[in-house]
Amino acid sequence: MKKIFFLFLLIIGAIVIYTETTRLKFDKKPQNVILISIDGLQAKHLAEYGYALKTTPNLDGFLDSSYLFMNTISPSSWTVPTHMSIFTSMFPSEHKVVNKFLDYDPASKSGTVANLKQLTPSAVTLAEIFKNNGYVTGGFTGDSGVGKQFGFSQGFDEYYDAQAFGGFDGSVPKALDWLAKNKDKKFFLFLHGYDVHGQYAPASGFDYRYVTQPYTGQFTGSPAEQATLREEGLKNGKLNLSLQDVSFWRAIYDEKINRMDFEFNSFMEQIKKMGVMDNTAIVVFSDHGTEFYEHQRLDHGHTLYGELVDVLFAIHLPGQNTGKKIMSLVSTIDIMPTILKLVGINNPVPAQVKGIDLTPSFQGADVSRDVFMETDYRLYTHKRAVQTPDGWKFILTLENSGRELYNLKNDPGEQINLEDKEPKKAYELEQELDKHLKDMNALDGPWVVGCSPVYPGQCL
Amino acid sequence: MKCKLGKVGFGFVLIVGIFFIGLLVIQFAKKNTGSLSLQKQITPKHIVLINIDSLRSDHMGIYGYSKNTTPFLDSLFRKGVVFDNAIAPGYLTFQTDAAIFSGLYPSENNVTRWVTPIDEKIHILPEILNTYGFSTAAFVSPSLWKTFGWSSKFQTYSINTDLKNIAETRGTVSSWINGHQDQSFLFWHIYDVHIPYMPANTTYYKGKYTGPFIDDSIWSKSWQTKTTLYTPDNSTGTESGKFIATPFRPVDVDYLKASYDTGIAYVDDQLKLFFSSIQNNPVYEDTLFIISAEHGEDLKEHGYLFHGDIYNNNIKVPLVFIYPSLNPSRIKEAVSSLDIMPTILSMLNIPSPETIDGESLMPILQGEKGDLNRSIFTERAPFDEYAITKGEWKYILRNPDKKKTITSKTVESFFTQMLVSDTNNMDEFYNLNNDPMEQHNLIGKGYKEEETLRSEVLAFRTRMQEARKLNSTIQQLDYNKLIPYP
Repeated sequence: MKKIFFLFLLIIGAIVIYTETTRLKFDKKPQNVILISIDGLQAKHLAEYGYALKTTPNLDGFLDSSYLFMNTISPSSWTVPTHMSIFTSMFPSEHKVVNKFLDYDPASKSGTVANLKQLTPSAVTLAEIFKNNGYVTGGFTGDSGVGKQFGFSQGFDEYYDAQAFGGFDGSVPKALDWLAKNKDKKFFLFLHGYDVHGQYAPASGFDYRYVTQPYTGQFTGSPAEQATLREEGLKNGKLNLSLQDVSFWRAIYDEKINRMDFEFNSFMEQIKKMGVMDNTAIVVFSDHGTEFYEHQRLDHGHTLYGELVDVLFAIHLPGQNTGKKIMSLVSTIDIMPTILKLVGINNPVPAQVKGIDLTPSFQGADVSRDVFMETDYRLYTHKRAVQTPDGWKFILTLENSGRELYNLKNDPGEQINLEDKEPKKAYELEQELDKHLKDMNALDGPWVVGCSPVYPGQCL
Repeated sequence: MKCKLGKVGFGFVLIVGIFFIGLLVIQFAKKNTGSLSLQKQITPKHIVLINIDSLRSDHMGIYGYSKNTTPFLDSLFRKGVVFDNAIAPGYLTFQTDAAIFSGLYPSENNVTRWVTPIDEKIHILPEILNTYGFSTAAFVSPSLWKTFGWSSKFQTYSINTDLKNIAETRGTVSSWINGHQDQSFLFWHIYDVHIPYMPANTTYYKGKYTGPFIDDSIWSKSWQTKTTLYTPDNSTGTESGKFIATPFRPVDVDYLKASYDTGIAYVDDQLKLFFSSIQNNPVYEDTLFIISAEHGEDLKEHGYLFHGDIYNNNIKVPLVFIYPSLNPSRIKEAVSSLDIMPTILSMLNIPSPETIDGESLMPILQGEKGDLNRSIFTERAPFDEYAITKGEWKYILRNPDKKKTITSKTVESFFTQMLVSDTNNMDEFYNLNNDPMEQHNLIGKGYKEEETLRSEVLAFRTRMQEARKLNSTIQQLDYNKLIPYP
């Protein structure tokens, strides 16, 4: 009898030890969350992701003491659908905010703006969940793609979107004012800036700090020029830029990134002074990248190649001094369930959330899985893609059933379409992608190409 | 301390302990569900799909025919899993074959007419199998011309232009099978049962027949209504363009049935020779044989000759899967020819295209119960008419405006033959258990199933109409360049 008793004790003990060791061990459990979106930042333009220039010393320092996700894929390649996916952990096909307008009639130049509450009334946003759990919530943004009209303010006590394509210089002071008032409450803060985006330029103009060779081309780096190049690329399928032009545009981008780094640092300095770092998780991400002629075009939204979907993503926990690079293939739709796990809020909408909790990766678990992307940018195209942890990527262009297969290990730049050479792999990934779309009830077309404006003056 | 635990304490520990052990067992079981449900491996190396064009199932002994038309096939079928209620998705050869290859209904794969080739974006069975290392070949008869667009997806696509070619082709087919030791897929389309029928032999027609059907070229020269045959009037020269109207007589129908059966018996004989030519080859033991038909034949149960409607005489087809590790059985559940593709692919552990309509029959083949109440659809394209079979019930959705569905004059020539005869414009509803030949329309007789089936078939029609709209951009063929039919 004694033996049996000890046997049970042993079993119970083993179970307790098992559950204790597998339980998350955070550096320190955060109470608050600051979520920072750097709009349009291509991961590969950061030193931490292998860029040759060190344009972001401050951000690098922050990332060095954070969990840095080295292989993060965005669910889409432009601001509106991506942010809505991050706020809901749903794919664009599910939340349906896939373009600025739900419908647009070029004749009358009018349409209904896409809005989450109208398109997907059942969707619950991250801010709403925080609010329902007793948090104060504030969002401070550069407007445009994250403006209130789309439903981004849903769940926020305060939402700043006064300045179109605004940078951190506009949103940070508002965020700090709000934080000063609310830092002693449980808070969720969303901060967003367009500093590195094509439609942003520093108020004082560029000083061309990264233009190392004398530039003899026609460009100055202005948003208007980038817009013209974007439209030209969409219209003709490709641009005709010289090597010199491309280097110049990259130098402009680097300057924007460098200037953003300064703004990022000033925000971090301020919140350190406020003393919120001790109980706050800071999550930094970019919603999409920017193309600089990797596929002969400029800007974003129009493809699902790495330059547009490989993004920055890092989590800094209270008191964290050492960083860790996590190699798992993840998606930014994982941000929402991961944040909820960090602060210990039970996800109230498990059926809605398509992302996964990434915190097991902090202890070294591989949280990789196949990740999916979509873009219906301006109805110019309808693309869907899947990427696998072993380095395959399949892109389907729905309007013409175009199929692309890339082996990212050998061809990270996605230049050699292996659709014909690897028909089995292409077929299998296509079926996996179709299944994903079918499960979302988003497989059937018609996939009509049209015009749906995002910027003023389009679809006239 | 230990002694103070007492009976209550020990009981508590026992309960808690059992609880935790239970949890552990559940956890372990969860991780191992894969191995718990392991079933017998059925992964053939070779697949032979034989479609005997125009063979309606109820003219075979195995399906209850009173005449001994198919002694060989009956014995062969008994070695396999026989589907008693296999329904074709179309009523014409090319429609059903396109549906078998694609797992999609005609309107979805675009093969509804002679001039509408298969949507080239679809992954079809031979292409997928070839991707996975199978050699692929098709040996076909007239009517499955290359113009339908699937021929290039077979490595070998051989058309024998003789209407009656089984005696010749069976040797070619058996050579191909015997010559492919590695994974292979072969499709064989047998035309010898199809019109023009063979002259009836004395086994099936005792008397002396002298009517118009003694001439087997009558099919291409005449046209018919439900009651009358119109044959060319050659009294004033061969191409007078005039027709003589002859009412159908019971004796004509008897002779036609006998002719039809003669063809079936002939094919049965030929297949016996074919199987004996391959059964000693080592590949035979690792070959899955699927034998079916694209459609049946109306032998005037509904006034028609030939095949032009979606009654069961026209759409109920034989279907058998024969493979050594499959236990012989009879399956009552209704299935569709669309199921052939996903069944083959799931046997081979190849993912089926997500877009298909067919369902894998693997669970049924392995002895699981199927859905006796599954809805099986058939299209009567291009007339925008549909049938649903569900359990013992069948509903046919008619289109009173069907004549308008034929717009191009050249395309009309084939389909108008059918339309001339077709006066069915009212929906039909049958109980197949009591009335397998669909003679007593139960519309409006107060059966509660009528509305269920009607609403399902209406929804199906909407789906097919939308699919046709999506496919309307696919380039049609020039009818004048097509080979005439039959």
